[in-house]
Amino acid sequence: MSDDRTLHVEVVTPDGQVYAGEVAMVVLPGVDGELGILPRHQPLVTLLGIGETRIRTIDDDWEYIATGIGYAQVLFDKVLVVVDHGELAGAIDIERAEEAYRRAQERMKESGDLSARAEVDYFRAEQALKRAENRLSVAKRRR
Amino acid sequence: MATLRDIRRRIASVQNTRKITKAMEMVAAAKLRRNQARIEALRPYARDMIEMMEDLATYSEEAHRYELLHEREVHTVAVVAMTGDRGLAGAFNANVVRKAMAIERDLRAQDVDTRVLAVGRKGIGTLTFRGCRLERHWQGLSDRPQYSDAKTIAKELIEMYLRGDVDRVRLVYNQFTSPIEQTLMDDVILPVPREAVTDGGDRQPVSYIYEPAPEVILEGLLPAYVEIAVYRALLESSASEQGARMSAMRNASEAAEEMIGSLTLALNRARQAAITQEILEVVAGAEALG
Repeated sequence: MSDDRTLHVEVVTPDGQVYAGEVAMVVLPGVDGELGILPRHQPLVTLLGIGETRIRTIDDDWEYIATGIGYAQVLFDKVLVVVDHGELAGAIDIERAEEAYRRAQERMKESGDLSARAEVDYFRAEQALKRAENRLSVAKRRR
Repeated sequence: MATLRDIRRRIASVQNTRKITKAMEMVAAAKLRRNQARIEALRPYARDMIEMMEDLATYSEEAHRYELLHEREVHTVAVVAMTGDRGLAGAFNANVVRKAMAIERDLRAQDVDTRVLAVGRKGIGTLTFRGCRLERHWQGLSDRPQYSDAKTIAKELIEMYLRGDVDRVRLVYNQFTSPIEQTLMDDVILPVPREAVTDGGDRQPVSYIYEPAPEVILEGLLPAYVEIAVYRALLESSASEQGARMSAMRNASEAAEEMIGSLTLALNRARQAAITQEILEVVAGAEALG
C-alpha cells in the first residue's frame, strides 16, 4: 500500500507490463506538453503522445521509459500508463533504433512525389522516425 | 512381389518422414505455448484500453460524432482473410479462404461491392490463384506477430475507411479454442462496433480532469481498438495455426507408425518365405546328391 508520499505506477503495453512500483513522481509526455504527477494529485485522464515517461524513484533516482501513444489515468495515488509500446532506457537496442531511424529517413526521401499512396507512406515513415528518435533519445539517458 | 530390399527401403523412407512429422509436431507445440503467453500478455492492455474508452464515451458529449464509430450505408465491404505463411496445417488455411470467398460471393449477390485483402502467404497464393484481385496483402507475420505489424495493418484499414473506399471492414480468421479445435470467426472491426466501446454499465463516477477534452482523448484512442482487434486476430490465428499443425502432424506420425507396422509385417513374411525357399533348395540339392 502507498502512504502519502508515494505513487503506485504501472506501465502496461500490448506485450505486458514494463514497469510497476512505488515511486515519488512521474513525468508524462502528454500530447499538449509534459505533465508532472506528484502524490495526492487530482484524478486525471490524459492522452499521451510518443515521448519519454520519467519516473522519480523513492531513492531519488530517475527511470526513463520510451513510451508510445496511449493514455494515463491518475486516481488515488495510482498512475496507470497504458501505451502501445514502452521500453526501459536500459532495454533499448540502440543499433536497431539507429537502423530504424535511417530506414525511416530514406523512406521519407523516396516518397517525395505527392500521390495519395506516397502521402500514406510519408506519414508512416514519419511516425517510424518519431518512434526511433524517441527510443534513441531515451536510450541516451542511461548511465 | 516386392523384394526384401524394396521393403527395407520403404520402411526407412517412412521412418524418415515420421522423424520430420514428429519434429514438426514438437516445434508447433513449443510455438503454441509461446503464442498463448503473448495472448495472456495482451489481455491487461486490451482490458484497460477498452474500459477507458467506455468511461470516456460516458463522459463525452452525446452529440459528438466519431468518424470511426459512425455507421454508414454499406456500399463497399473490405474482407480481410487471415491465413498462415506455411502449409502442412490440415484445413487451417483452406477454411479461411473458403469462408472469405463465400462471404464475398454473398455480398456480391446483394449488390455490395467488395475489396479483398489477405494476410499470410497461403491465403495470398490461393486467393490470387482463384482469380481474386487483392487490394492489399501482408505476409511474414504469422510466425511471430508483433504489435507494430497490427498497427500497420490497422492504419491502412482505417485510412481506407476514412477515405470512403470501404464502408465496413470484416476480418476472417481462426480463433484458438483448443490445440485441436479452431473456430472460424468473421468480425466487423470497422466501423468500431459502438456497443464494444460504450457499454460501460454503472461504474462509480469520479470527476476526472480530462486533458484534453474526453471527446478528443476518445478520438485519439479509437484507432487502438482496431489495432487490438487486428493484433488479437493475428495472435489467435497464429496459435490456431500451430494447434492445427500439431494435430495434423500427430495424425501424420500415427499414420507413419501404422505403415511401418504393416511394412515390417510384410518384410518378415517375405524374409521367412525366402528362408523357407532356401531350405527347400538345400534339401532338394542334398537329395539329388544322395
